[in-house]
Amino acid sequence: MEKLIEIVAEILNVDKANISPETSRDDIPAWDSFNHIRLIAEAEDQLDAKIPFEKISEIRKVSDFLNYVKRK
Amino acid sequence: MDNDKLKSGDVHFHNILDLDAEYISNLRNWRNQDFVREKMFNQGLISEDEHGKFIEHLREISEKRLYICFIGEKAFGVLDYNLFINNNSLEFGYYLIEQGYTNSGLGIVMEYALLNHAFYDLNVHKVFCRTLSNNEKVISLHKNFGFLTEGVMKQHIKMVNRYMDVTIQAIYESIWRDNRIVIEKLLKVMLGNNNIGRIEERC
Repeated sequence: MEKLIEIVAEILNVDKANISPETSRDDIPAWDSFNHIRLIAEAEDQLDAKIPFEKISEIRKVSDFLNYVKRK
Repeated sequence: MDNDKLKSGDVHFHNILDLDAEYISNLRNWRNQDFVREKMFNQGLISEDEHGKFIEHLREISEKRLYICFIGEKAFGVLDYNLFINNNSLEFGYYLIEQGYTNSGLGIVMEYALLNHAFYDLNVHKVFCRTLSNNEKVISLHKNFGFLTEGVMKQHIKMVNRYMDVTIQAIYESIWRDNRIVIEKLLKVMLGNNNIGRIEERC
């Protein structure tokens, strides 16, 4: 989870302290469509995650990424 | 909808006039959802009568087109445009039909398909859109595609208790030609091996 929060903080350019597993797309103005896809790209790359296209819209908060991480 | 080659994650677009009547009915329900209406210039509820006239208008005016966007067999968005033949330009708009789809990247898919259709099928010179200025995420999305902000119409739309500014943004083929490469890299991440179908003329 710590690595995931680091990724989210870096992509969205916000302080790690302001990110929790429950932080959602609605909570952070910078979490727009483009950054959502950038987050998916980084999660797939750095966390060995695989997120199917039809599931991308179901990722609404930080912890949702963990459903798709192979090595937790 | 009966394309054997269609994969479950492929994106495709269908003109509303080519779809079953249930989609015409669904369209009004989607359009009348609170989270959709609050981003529209006309935020009122659309009556059955108004909706019927709108559909008739689509049948009569070939320059105005409305498409339902699908992933596999699941509808996710509505895309419409007006073609201005004399000016060789096109104005578009779109919305997602479930609130959970907001900021999920599906808008990128629709905007990408629309720009390719406009510039490479319809060969228009300019694509533009008008957005309520408080809809900052959508204005930012258009900027990421390369749209230039051409102006802000101050206090242009009268809402129930206030006047709202409207931002006009536009893009030209020369800009899109360069920017589409960046967008395609993002779409590759999103789509994996799935494809985005073309926006086609009516069957």
